[in-house]
Amino acid sequence: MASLWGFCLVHFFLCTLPVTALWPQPRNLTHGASTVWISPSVQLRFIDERSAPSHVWRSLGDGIQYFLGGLLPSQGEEKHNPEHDDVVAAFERARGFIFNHRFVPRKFHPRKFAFEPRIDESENAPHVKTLIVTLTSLKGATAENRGRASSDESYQLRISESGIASITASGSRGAIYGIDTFAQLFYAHSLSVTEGYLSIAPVHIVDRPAFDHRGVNLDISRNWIAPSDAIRVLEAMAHCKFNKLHLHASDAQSWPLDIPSLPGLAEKGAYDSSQIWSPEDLRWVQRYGQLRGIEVYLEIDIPGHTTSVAASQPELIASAYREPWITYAAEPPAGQLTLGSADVMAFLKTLLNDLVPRNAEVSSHFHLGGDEVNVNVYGLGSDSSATKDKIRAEVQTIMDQAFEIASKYKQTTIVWEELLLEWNLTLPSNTIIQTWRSNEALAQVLDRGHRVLFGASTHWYLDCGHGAWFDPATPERPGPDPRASPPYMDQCAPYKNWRTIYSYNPLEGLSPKQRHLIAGGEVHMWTEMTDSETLDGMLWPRAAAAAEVLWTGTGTPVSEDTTRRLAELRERLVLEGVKAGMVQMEWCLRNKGGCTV
Amino acid sequence: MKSLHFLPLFASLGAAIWPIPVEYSHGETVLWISEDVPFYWTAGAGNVNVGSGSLIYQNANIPNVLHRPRWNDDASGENKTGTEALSGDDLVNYAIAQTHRTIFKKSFVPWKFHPRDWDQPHPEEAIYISQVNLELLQDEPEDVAKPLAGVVDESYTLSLTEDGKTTIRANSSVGIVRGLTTFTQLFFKHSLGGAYTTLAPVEVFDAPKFPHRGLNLDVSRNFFSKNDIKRTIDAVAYNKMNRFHLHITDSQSWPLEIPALPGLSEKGAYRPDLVYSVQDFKDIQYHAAVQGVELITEIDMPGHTSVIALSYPDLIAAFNIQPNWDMYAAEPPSGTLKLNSSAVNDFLGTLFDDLLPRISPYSSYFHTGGDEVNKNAYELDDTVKSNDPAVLQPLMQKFVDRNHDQVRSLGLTPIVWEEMLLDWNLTLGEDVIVQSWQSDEAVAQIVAKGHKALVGNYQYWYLDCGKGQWLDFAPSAAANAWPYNDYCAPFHNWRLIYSYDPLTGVPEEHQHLVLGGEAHMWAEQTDPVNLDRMVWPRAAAAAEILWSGAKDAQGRNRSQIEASPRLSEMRERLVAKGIGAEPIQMPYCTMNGTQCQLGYAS
Repeated sequence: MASLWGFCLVHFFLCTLPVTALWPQPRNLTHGASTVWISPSVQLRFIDERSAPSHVWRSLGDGIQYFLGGLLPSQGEEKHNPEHDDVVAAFERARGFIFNHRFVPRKFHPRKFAFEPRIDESENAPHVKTLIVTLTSLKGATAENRGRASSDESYQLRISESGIASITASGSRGAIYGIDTFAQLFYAHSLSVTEGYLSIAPVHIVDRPAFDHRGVNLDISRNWIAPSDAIRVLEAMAHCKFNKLHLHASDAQSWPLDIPSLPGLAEKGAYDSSQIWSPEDLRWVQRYGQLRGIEVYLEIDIPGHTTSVAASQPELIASAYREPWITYAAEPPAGQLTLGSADVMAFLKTLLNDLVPRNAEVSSHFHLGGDEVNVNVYGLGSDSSATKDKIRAEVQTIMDQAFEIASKYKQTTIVWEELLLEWNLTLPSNTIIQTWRSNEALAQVLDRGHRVLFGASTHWYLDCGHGAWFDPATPERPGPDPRASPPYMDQCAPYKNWRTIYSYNPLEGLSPKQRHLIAGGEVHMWTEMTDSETLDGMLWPRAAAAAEVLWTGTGTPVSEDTTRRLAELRERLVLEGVKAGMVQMEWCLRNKGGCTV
Repeated sequence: MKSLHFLPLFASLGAAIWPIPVEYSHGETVLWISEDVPFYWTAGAGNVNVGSGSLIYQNANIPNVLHRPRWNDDASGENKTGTEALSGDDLVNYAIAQTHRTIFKKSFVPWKFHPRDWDQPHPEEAIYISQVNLELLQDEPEDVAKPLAGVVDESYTLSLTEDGKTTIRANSSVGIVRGLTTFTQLFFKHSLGGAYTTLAPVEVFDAPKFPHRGLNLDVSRNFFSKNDIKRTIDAVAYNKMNRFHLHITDSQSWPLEIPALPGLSEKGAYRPDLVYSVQDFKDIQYHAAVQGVELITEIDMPGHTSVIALSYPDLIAAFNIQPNWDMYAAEPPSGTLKLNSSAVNDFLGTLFDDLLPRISPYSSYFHTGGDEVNKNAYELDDTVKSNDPAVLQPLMQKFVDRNHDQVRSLGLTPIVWEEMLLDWNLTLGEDVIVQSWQSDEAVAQIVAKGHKALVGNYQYWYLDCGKGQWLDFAPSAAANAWPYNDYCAPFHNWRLIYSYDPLTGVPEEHQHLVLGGEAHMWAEQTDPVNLDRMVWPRAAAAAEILWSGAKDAQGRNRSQIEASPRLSEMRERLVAKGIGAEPIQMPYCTMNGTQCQLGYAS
């Protein structure tokens, strides 16, 4: 804006400050340079134009008003309209963030520089007194918003120079994201506990996601990840506009998920009786995600990655704990569901009929795994086409039953790429294929006409680069495996620093015609070397780099502005109690332009 | 009794002392320990014969010079006055309190080291440890808490009989402290409460391979609170390291209060509240010393001093040159103390006179830095105006001579980075310890010149490496920079750190000059939030190499197969102590013995 540039020429220092520090970057942002204040008494006025009109305001206390066309809450009900719980919760979080965490961005300004606006106690200092959130029908939405499956995630945000603030969205998820953006626009003031401010009014943001499916895959089997850890993950995810948390809920090493109809699974398969997710834990996490616009969905990985089932039902698992494991599995212990077994079919039926309906209460997706199926496990001979044909037919039978149960509960299934690309299974046409090995896999899935998720291990595996966790074969002869020799690297080294993650462009080389089949992507947190204690630091802020690719789009070069915005998000996450890793040292943040090569 | 040689087979039973003692044997009897177990402390007997590697006690008739139960849960001692030296008594007293805290309050249930359906010992059959006797066998030097390398004998013996009598004997209070640390590692928490060991009877003889075993923490590039530092020192001590090197100033910030030069921290700290006050600094030094850890303060000079320009601009040349900072420094901001300036000399005189007397109650060393001095910067130095080594070298010699003379006059021994000796070819006093970081060859060169050396090759023992480049790229450079690795990638996992032998390439006749080494935590990408997992348990791998040596009793490189479950257990002990250390393996790998081996053949 012209006025901003004029301001900059006069006040050189201000031009070195971050203009905004939103993460992820909105699609379209214009702003000025005026200061607008906000205080804890800010109210939410919530209007759902999609309901039949009514002219009654309803105050729910603590500054929240509903204007719910005709849907008057009845006396004494605590949650008057559960449909809008998530929007109200988002507003409470925003207000809590601004005034409880009180983020003062000292680290981002030169030493001794007075970066804050002077406290203005006059009556007419512009204040945001009310945030008006309007859910409008698609008819009223902007042309840009129309015609997308994800249109309920789009929003518009306006804050005028006089402090009038409004968010318009066509669905509550858009409203939630708009409210989080709203919160990110404000800073706490170091000299006032009751005043927050922004210095870039007027603000106008038109925003929508580039991809529908924006996820984090969290492995809760290989190491203990507590439900309370997942809660913290969701809190951080909400700040990055992620909308899917994929819980890789079982694997060969442990079975942490309590399945009431198969109690032995967790009783014997969890690492310890203290390491179990009860149905209530799962529900808590899923509901917590729901209030943040995040769908928490489960993966039960079959037929491989199932050895922990053998702890309770050994007959279901072929080659359980067989050595040398390296012949039978990608990592120890070996073991896969037995093929052609009525017991296995009955087991899966019980398992899925217990778990899938619970998942379906909050999620429309269920993940059935299918990665890294090992041919040698079944002792059917070498890796010949005849062997594979036989295995394929049996795996198809197992998966067909699983798809059928999932479909009964109206779940869209997701499977790993191997089931399609390696095993050529016949999959339901709406099944989403999750690729992980390469961009080529992505192109192949698209050629087969399936919807697809990206998240290649070369860029989006957060576990990589921490070194091998395997011990060598013997002290004297470590063996030929490179992981047993210095520098003891793991198979997907190097460490994926946030720039590597940010520069991942899965769309490179794809025909635009195929892009509509790309549902989105996930960043992966496998937990061979990560547990409760270090989860935050392994996930954040790197997962946030993936979040911006998923929300704002691929192919944006990394610039210093990216660094500074991510560093600011990191500070916000730390205030939320998330032990995020670092982006850049304080000197660089305080001296813009000083750490560039 | 099982001897140490068979330990790997029983690793999953939890016999994990880290670092591994010289000699260690144990049985399988369960003993419990109660919170009111008496500790007795006796001084003035014979001595432990360290040299033979077996236990020979002289003057075995121990007189009861001092014989008293000692119990003091509040032994922080931070109210001691600044000049009061710590005594051996202080160390033992503090260690007893810590032992109690560790066993009864900061312990863990070891389910990760047993198969899924394991049984814990049954409390109803409990035999309790009756007493813990601590026996100091010799008079000890006055500076027991701040010794020069090799002065204090840290060896100890530990004996736990099957009927519950514990005896720790040592030639110094520090040895007693180390023995008590080992003692705590025999115990686990029971899920129903209480603490037990499954290893009685136990016999340990232990002594360190190297006298200088340290961690270097950079608190300038990012600020760490007093509590962050104290927590790190606790972990250092728990790994039997005995040096904590505080790289306390650098170009980016000056967090140390210097009353005689108040502007340094007032203007040079990142924020006015991110400062170590005189009292904070004393508390930190005390906290280290009382655990037998000597805190070594480094004021890096003449490079890495850019921040001084914020308060004393006339002292610094080439201050924050942009954008071509890389002509003048290894990382931004550039800036170096002028090399031929009486004002700089006066400044340093004042600085040392203020700071060093506050260090000498707690340490015998002072580190004057000297790494990465950029010669181009002196072209912009109005007292030099040259980058010619022939001009600069004599000036550097004078600069370092002045500094070291003052360090000595204040009773301390200087430490410098290797460049001062190897790149600048300075003549250094025989007392000076030279800290190497660039290569094994550098270590060999230092000792060949007759100097004492510290190791810590950056390709093995730099804990910051592998997290990716933190510098931003100009748009034109960004595309070619993928995958944005840093200068010392890859990440140095514990195995790489553990595979480093401080004596590599050092001829036998010079090996006595290798005093030990340090693992380095540079803080470009580390702050209080991620400190613990950046340092631990990887620094523990270095700690074992320094305490136990890189070779086992048979002269082979130490086995990762044997070390890995023990390090996993140390990690759990650190987490129980409130240190957010990283896991190195899945529980699956440690619950089932060594089944996570590559190429394992059944």
